[in-house]
Amino acid sequence: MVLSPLALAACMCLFILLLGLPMSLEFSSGTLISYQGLENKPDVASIERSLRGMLQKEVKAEVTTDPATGKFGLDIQTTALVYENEEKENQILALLSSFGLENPSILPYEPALGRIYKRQAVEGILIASLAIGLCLLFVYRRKVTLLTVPCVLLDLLVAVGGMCLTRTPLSLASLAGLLLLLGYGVDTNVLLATYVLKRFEGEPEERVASAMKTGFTITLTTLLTMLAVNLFVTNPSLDQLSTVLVFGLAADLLNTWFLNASILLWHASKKRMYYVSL
Amino acid sequence: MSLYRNSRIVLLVSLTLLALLGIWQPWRGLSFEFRGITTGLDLAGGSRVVIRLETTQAIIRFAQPFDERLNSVKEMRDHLADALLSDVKVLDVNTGTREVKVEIGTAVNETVLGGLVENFGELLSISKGAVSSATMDEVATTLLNRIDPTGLLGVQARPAGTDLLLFEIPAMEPEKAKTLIEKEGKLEAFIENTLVLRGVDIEIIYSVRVSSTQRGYQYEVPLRISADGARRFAESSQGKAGYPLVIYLDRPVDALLVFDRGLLGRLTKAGPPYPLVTDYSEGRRQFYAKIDETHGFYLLVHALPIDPRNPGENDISLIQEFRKTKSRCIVLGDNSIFSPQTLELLDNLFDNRVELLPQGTMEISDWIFKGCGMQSAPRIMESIAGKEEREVEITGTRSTEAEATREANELRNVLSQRLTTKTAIVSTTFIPPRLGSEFAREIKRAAFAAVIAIMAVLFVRYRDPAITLLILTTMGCELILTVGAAAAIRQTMGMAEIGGVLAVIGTGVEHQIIITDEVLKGRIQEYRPRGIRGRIGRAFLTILTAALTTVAAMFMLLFIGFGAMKGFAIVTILGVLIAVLITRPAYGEIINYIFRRRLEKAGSSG
Repeated sequence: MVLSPLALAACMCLFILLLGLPMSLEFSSGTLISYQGLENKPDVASIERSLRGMLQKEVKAEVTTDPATGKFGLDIQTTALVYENEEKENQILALLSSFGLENPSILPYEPALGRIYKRQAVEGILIASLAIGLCLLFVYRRKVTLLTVPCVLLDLLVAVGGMCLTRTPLSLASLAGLLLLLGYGVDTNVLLATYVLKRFEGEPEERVASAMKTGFTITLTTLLTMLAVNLFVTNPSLDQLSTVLVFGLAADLLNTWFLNASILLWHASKKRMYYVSL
Repeated sequence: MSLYRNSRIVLLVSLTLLALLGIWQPWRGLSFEFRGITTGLDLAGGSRVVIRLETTQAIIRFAQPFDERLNSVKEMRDHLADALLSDVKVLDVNTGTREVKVEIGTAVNETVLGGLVENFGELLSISKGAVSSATMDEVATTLLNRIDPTGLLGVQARPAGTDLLLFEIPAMEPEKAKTLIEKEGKLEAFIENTLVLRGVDIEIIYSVRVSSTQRGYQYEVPLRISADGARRFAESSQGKAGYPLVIYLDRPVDALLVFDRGLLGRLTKAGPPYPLVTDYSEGRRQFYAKIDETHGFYLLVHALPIDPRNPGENDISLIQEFRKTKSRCIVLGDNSIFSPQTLELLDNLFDNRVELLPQGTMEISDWIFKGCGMQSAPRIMESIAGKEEREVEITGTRSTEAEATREANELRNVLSQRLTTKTAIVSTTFIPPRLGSEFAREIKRAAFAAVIAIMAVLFVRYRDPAITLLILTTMGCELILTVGAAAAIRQTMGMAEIGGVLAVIGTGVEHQIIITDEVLKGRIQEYRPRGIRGRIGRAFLTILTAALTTVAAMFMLLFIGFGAMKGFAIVTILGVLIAVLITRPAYGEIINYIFRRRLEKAGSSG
């Protein structure tokens, strides 16, 4: 029971290390190729398609308008570092000039969450874990509830592994998904802890079974919703968000009800023996 | 007690209706649109502004070894800051080679800088277009505070290239974004030609005041200045009662003001109204303005009259002479006054750094004042001349009250968020919404699929249409309340915020299932130590703990990555609070009522 979630986590670790987590435009360095003063509105879809084919990287093209002249512009963002390779740059510019686009300005840009903010993000996750741990300690007054934190972090690990497998990039949307997962993961573990540690009617196993019934309904509702979103919606942001949650929630079922429940049960049975000996 | 009289349910229903009204805003039109919600960049479009940071980095080798406390370095830094009227940062000090790397918040050329540091040592190298990451982050944060002081708009900032910053601002016109970003916020106050106050002297900026006067609406931005500033004011204003204290904001010292020679004939020689530009000095190449019949001041920006259609050789050679010290050009007028050839000539001379300032509806004096960055020129009263006055006011007059209030608030905003580096706008464009009607259709489809999925799970679990319907209705109320609350605090709704709403709904359903299970268990099991109300109370322990931990986890997000995830965190925290305080208690009451009724019925029939 305890081993299967750990084996899954180990597998996912391997995937992350082997495949790497792809980054979206928001989180990676990249290039902004910008055109100004176009008379006609450029055909965004076909430009995007051709560039994506050539670069094999994420490409986002947007038509802009200059408020002063009313002329069009085109901003192409890509995670490819175009400016680093002159040959590639010329190829791309040749492709773009076939669409009638000339004289671009090429800007390398850095991620929105750059440098010091990456450190902040890591600090943030640590502080959040600490805050969650403190809340749990405050409510349950038992050290064993602190296990919730690594359980939830395992959920996140599996979700990130799932992202590597499905090549879902880390974007604002998938980050939102990971954070949602943090919330859901904590919720089910809190439910479990309350039933096992704060209730006294019936055997601990019965209490876990009862909590599991509620917990499974909760997670299944969200999981099915996200699956529905994943299947019916083609929008990349919602697709990324739901992919993260589908993997994470499936892992949460294992981590909460097999791993954490086993440990809490063991803890509860130890306590019971203690009471009996009195 | 009847459900309709239960305070928790009444609260839920009335707040939901209120939120619905807030989102819909039917008084602005009866068609069903979400008028109360400001949508993000993805959904509503916005502005993309690229700015360039005009810093200069230089390495200076000191002639003498450094003293222990590096006083000579500090002295040089202050000397440069005073001489260049700019912020100067020391980036690196190498005591072995006696080299110091500094970053100056403005463009400086080698000759000027070499001259300024010669008392300290030798200028080894100078580079433009390189900006330290500390300065880049500082400027990004300052500008974010200006554009989006509450952080609710969801502005994104990212460094691009070595010296550029790219801003994406949802639901804001490019022109407005430009005015907020463009101003450096560099305040200077002169008495005659002596600089008495600078931006760093400002200690407090009080609330703005707007009052109606004969010329229109006058705004006042009161400031408190430092004791040092007050002392300088006292020294310089000694015996200068009646003289003007001329206050500039972002005085374009690095620019040459070019204007049509014909303008000189149109200057009015006497007022009122004052202040008034009355003259131009060929010797000083500066405009002269009066604040009353006896006192006046020179506008401390070099200005040059030329023939706008066909500048003569003399004009060109004068411009070339100025080009040695000036890096850009401000043209008073537009292409209706200046010929394309003239503008092209200026463009070539100033490397495309020419800015047009059309007169628009402004009076000639106001137009010239604007070109010179002159904000106001109050008269030094007899009572404060030579005294250490710490309260100063910047004033301005506009034709409408709304315009005066807007400008005063902008001024206050810019002064309190002063930039340490000079910036120039590279481009301002409008980005249309990325996710248009297709996205709206997809969201609807997703919502429909989600509701069906939730309904299916709930029905399979409880086999009770009443409970399924109740959970779904409560979920709907929670959605409306959360979106309504976000709209009320003017939170922009973008992708991240939609994620937050999803989180809220998800946890909402979760908590209702916990309550329902708790109540049902009491009904099914024989062992029933408490009543239904007691069981609901017990469910609340789980819910409150879960809510508390979610809020704790979200709180840290408020401070990450130029606020990129702030919206998500705010919406989630709002939703969790609403859930715990409003919807959960009401749901508990309703489920309590339903089961009590059922038990009573079962009891009476049994």
